[in-house]
Amino acid sequence: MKQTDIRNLILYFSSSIHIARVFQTKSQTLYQHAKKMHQFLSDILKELKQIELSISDNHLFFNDERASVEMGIMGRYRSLIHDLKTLSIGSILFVKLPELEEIVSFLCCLGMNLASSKHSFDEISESLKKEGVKSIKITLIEDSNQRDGILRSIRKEALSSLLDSISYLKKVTIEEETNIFEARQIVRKFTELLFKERSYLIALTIIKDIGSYTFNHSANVCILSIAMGIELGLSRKDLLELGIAALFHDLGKIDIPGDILNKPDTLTNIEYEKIKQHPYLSAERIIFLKGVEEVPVFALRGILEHHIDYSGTGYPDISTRNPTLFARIIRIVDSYDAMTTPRIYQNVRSPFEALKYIIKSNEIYDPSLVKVFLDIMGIYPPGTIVLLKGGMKGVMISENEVAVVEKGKISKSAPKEMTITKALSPNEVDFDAAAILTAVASDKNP
Amino acid sequence: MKDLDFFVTNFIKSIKNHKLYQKVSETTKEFIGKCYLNLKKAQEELGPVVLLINEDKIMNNSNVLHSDPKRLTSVPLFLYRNGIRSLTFLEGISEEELEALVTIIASREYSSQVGLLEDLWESKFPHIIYHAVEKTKKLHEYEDDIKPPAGINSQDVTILPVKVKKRNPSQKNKQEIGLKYEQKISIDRERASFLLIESIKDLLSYEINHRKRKSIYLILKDSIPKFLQTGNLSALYQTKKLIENQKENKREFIEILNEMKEILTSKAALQLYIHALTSSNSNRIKREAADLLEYVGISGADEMINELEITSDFIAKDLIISLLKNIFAEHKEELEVRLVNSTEKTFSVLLLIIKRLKDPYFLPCLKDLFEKKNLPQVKEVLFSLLSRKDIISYLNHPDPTVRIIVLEKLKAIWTPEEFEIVRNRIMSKSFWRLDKDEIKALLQLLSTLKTDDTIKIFSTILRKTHFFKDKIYDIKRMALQALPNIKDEKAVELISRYRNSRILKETVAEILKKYETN
Repeated sequence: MKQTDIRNLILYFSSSIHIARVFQTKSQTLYQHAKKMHQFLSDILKELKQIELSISDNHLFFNDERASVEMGIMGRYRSLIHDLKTLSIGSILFVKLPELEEIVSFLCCLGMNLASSKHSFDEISESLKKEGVKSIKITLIEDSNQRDGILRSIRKEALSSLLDSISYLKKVTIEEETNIFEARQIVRKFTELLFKERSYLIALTIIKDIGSYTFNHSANVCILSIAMGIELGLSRKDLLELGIAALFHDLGKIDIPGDILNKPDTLTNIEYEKIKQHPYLSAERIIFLKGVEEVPVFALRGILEHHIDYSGTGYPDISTRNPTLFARIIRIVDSYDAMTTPRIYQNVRSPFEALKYIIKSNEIYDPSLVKVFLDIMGIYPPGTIVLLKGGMKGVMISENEVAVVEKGKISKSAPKEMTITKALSPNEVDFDAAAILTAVASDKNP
Repeated sequence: MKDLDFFVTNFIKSIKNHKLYQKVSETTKEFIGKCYLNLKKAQEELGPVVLLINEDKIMNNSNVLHSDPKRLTSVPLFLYRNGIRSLTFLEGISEEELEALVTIIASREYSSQVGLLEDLWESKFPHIIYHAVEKTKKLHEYEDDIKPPAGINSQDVTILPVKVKKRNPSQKNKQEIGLKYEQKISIDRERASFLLIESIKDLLSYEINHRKRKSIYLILKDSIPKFLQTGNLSALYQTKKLIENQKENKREFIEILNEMKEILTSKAALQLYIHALTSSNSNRIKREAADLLEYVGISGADEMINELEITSDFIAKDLIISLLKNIFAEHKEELEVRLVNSTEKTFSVLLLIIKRLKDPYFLPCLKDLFEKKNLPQVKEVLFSLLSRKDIISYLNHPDPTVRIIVLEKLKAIWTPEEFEIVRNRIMSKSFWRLDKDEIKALLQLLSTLKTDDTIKIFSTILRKTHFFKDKIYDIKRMALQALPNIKDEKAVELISRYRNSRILKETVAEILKKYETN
């Protein structure tokens, strides 16, 4: 195969996937690109019987020949490998020249799957069958290590991002010159990761003891709020503002003395008045950040109102008592994370118990948003400790994956699929769910 | 390759031009147009166009298409510092998409190292792909800072798939929620300025720290020009209310509040308010605009007077006159000066304002205008301001139109004291020689005061005979028509007496019919 053919195929293939992901329909532009791909395939297939494009390590192979690409398309080359790996596609085989319509359906299918947060190889195969794509065959990545490697790298990124956010929050409270751009970068990263691998990032919110409570809690609320925003179909601009609101919502607590925040007994009126000031203090934190050209109004309002109930009661005493959408989202997520965190003044609730409380409290939380929150968290929210059939215990790391913990060794004899019996409280196990989740992202993990 | 060269050259020119004019000017549009054509031609030859970004170069493969040494205004350096390493332009790109990219790049400061990626991320261009690098710490780098929880041996963990019953909300339910919130969000965006001002108000109600309080005020101050620029009248109105409600003692804050007031009452603001008042279909906007115009005060008066001549909007006109009345109530001397020096067009407007003000302050000026220049429009306004005594003195004015106006004015204010004057005038011989309109005004005035003599006077008029029959019957008809105003049975009786009069019977029938109906 000529180098120019390979170059063009990579360029058009990756570009077409991008277009399909953006438009998520068989758009005119997609047809335009597919036509070019069709032309290249037709030229190549005049000389060759079939074309197989496969991935091994971090390289693309055309009919077992490793593609050497010039610098100019290196970005596209990497992006194509990344996309195919994300979809667990190990190889693509063009057995004969496909019809134009087949190429369009194929690209559309890949693009749509990449655009959704669930990337399922089986779903792609099924869709291709339904669409009548016969000349293009795909195979699953053979090397399971490689498949796991991608997931692990995403998970590692997720953990790093969580830590990034906490060190940023720490910086905000120490340095006066911190800027909003870093906050935006963190929120953007969380958003991208939630699109890629929602469950794991949500599961990470079970970690409650990195840095101080306020930092860890703020990062958790940020993740869960963005997840809700995505589920509601908010635009990226809105997600960014929602994320910033959630990240800063409690940061004003830093200015309140620790002996009030952590007082095990009932607070005096004066102390409670101090606590009630934190939405103001948090709101001020974002407007005084460096680089705020335009005040993120909805974030500001969301912070000010995040202790105003759905019914309009609560604190502080501000001019409008109908909490905005961001405030209503943060109200739910903030309570959930606080309830599931062990504090000196309160007993910790399991995620399951916390959800139950939220569902019952119609006056406090917006019932429509509670439904959305339940859709995200499911019956066993990621991070929940579960008892499995057969007596084994584990931690939910995604909607349909559990990290099984056994003393000493990996259970070689573990069945291919497990059934959950019930959720357990952290006191019923001798391991820490947070440590399991961290280990899942660690390099040492098999 | 030539097209690719031209494309990049015009791309850079478009960005620099946009930066220079701070908008998409005609010249910028021209460059973008050329840039787009070059890009299309390059794509015909090469397919998707990939530009590699270096610190001081833009390249395609190893070909350098643009080179700029590392200086502040270098476009490649700016892109590079923002983490962008390549830009890919796909076929199917539209000129608008290219223009949007140019706008995003040009809108950022050269010195800025952040923000561009966010803008590109939010824009979600369908035909432009950017490749960027972002620094994220490696896990081990957190050791000195914060440590993730540890303590578990990774060998103890194995990951298995599990069967979980998933809560699957019906698609319809999900769509409903989604739709509901999408709508709320779009409504929210329109409320951005409202929420900003509300939040500032809330923060000011809480914050006592001098430095922070000042910063909060400055946020609002910086927002006002934006509200003006976008024609956000409601936000300006809300700001005005906030300024008025702030009770500050400290000089620094008072100064900021005054500066804000200055922007709110600037020439540009005034034009916006007038435009909103005359063009908006919303009554709320009109009211807010009127309120803001009153806030502008006397400095906006001339513009408002001019607008009265132009606008045909009845509600707007009425609002402006009310506004001017309120404004001039505090600046009477200004109104007087304007009236004396006014043009023919503005004269009547100013008179109308004086009439509504009902302030005797203007009497000398009006009397002067009336006596010396004999301006007819002034009469009515003048009499509306005169006292009863003054009005009665004008009953002997040589000009019948003046006398008629006086009679009209008397209707509302006269007492039996003036009755004698009117009676004498009617019973005098000269009465029959008066102008018909004045006779009518006299009879109408008479009918508004119910005394024993009133019916007698009317009876005398109706019995009168005269050589000039036509005129006499006209006067009798006027008397009959005025009689029902007395609202007394004797008056009806008197009318009925002329039921069979050959000349008056039709008028009588008509009056009685009307009387019965009422």
